[in-house]
Amino acid sequence: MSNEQKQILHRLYWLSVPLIILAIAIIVKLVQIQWLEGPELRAQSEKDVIKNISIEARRGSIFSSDGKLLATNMAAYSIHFDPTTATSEIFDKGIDSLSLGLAKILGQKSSAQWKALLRSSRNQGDRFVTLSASVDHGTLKQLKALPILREGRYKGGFLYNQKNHRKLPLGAIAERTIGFDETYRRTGLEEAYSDELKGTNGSRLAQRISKSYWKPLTDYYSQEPEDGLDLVSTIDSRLQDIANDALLSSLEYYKADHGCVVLMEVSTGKVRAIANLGRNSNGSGYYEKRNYAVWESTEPGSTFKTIALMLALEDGVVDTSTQVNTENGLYTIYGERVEDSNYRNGKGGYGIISLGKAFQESSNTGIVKALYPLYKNNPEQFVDRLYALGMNKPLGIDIKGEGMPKIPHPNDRKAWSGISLPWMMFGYEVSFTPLQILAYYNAIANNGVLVKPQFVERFEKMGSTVKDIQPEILNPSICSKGTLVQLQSLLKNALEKGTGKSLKHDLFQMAGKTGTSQSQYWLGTEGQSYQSSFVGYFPADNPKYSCIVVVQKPDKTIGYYGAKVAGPVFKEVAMAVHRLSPLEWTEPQNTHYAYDSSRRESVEKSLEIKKMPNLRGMRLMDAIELMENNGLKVKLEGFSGKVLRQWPASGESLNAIPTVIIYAG
Amino acid sequence: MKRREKWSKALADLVQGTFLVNDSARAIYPFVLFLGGLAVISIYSSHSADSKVYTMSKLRNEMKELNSDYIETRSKLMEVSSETKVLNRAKQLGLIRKENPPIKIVLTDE
Repeated sequence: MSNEQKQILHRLYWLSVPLIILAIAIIVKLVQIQWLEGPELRAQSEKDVIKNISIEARRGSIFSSDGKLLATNMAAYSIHFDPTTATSEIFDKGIDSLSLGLAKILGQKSSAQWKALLRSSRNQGDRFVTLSASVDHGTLKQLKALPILREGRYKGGFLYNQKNHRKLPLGAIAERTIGFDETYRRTGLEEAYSDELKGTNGSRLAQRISKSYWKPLTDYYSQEPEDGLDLVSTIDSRLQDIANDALLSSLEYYKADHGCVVLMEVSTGKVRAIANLGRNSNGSGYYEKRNYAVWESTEPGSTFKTIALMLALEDGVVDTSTQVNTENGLYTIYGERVEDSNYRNGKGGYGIISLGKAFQESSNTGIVKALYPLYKNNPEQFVDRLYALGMNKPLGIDIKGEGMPKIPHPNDRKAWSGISLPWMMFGYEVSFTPLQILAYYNAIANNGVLVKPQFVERFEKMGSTVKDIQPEILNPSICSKGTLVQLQSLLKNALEKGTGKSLKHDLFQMAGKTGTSQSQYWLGTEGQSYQSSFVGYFPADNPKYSCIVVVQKPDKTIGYYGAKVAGPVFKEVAMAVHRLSPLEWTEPQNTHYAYDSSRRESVEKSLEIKKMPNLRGMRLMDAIELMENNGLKVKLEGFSGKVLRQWPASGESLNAIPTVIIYAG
Repeated sequence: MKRREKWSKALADLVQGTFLVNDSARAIYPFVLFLGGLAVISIYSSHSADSKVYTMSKLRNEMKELNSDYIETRSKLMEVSSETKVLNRAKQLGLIRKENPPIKIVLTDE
């Protein structure tokens, strides 16, 4: 080996020394990581990279009984803006049209305010300006097109996050009854049926593949997610819409504080419409503030006379023809005055009238003078009957927050006084929620069967029924058949001839009772306010729906009587039901109508036994004359010639029909 | 001395890679190739699974956006088609709501 070669080898050896040391060091570290720290690191990585990720169950939607969406989950976006991101060139050029766009799309602020806010935030170096906490996707798309924002996140500073949002597609309609299921707001159906609606979250083993992406590792779930059930509520969107609108116009017209309306199906207790509107605290407009129908327990006033009368009729101590002297409309008990609504300065009252008439006119003195002496020495009998009916207990409806009824008992010395009993008879000293009062009127319409007001029709999954909710009977018979018949006719008369007569309608008969009660009467004439209510059912002879309207604190100078303030809302809802139930006329096939004067006799015969005759083919003038001579009202469609169609069909009973319709041509 | 020679030969073999080309090694080549093929397939499928995760996430997002659009539109439709809204608009045209229900004509064989 030459000397030169030896020298090269020598150098190589020296060079290899540090390389070998480095290699050894690497091996040592490797061993250390692999075996000494290994188990801990492996566990750590498994936690970060592989885990059971939660798979969120879809929350069920809430539908109306006619298939409209009332509440559903959808994606919403919270949108933010970092005004410091954009270069001054982009910012200065776009700020004007951006502010204009924000004002137009989001509202909230004027264009100048937006501009000032964004400018000052940029100058102060504020990097996070929330533009809106929640917008839908359509709005997001519009915002994305605005100058500056359209530059995106890194050049324009536009930030947005997707989140889950519970949307009420029909707006605030029935919002309080649909409710919320949020951390700090849990009410209504959302709360009551939270378990059914929310379903169960699932989980699945997955591996992280980048920041927020997880790749499933198995082809099965560790826990299968189960979507929530859809809830079909009893609310009918059309009737709800009309009820809401009618209530709103009454509140606005009478400048009332708040009110509610509930429409219920008589035989099942299904609530078809429930609107609760309260005035905005800043005085502008009304919104679903609280569930007044469910929660607000107040002294019902005259609407309770029906219950008082029911007890007396049931005890057999009076009947509707019992005479009572209302004198001048003033009656004094223990120095306290019971006045009729027409009593002014020593004049008023109705003189000597029957109890039925007193009820019809809603005479306070009439009811008290007829009933009070009968129970004066035995108030327990009266109160115990109310307790036996279960009126002292809440109905136990699904929605939480039901107001407690209040009926003082004579044994309770603190709550009872000498005037408790007589005052109770016209609806003071006791307290009920609108829904509780409605339930008992509904029972009168439902032949004595008290059913629980119900808000849920059924639960569905993928459109097929999972669970049907059955009507619940709370009391199969609140009073005897005889009492019922009398009450039904009293309520019909109260609407047609009594305090509710302004609501009478020719083609659609209703029954119901007005209620005008003073609230906060302890504040004196100046401070006291009124509660106007109307409760009843329709059609009067074959009740399908019951309805209550309560309006609190109408402006006294505009009006406060139940018939004036609450009545029109009741009628509006009743008319909506009327419009939605088609009349039927029968029409024989291939028949030509011949004029036939000999029919006159058979028509008269039929009218004698109160059966609708066959008028078809008769001369219109003859038909009208015959009907009107027999005390029937005729509504005419068409002008002259012969009768083509009629309602009701021939042979139907005319007892319950005030007006017949004749179509001529 | 002999022992040292043996070691250096082994080292030389390792460095020169002769172990890769001797006869016994050549016999397992197809198997090595097969293993290599498997590795490629495994890597490919893993990547394709990843990209599916991304696609699914993108589609899910898109679905949510479309659903949001759908609900918004449906909501607007429900609002404008509600009876009271239609009534208000019809009033401007001079139309009013009929007070009585529609009449259903039932044909009979009288």
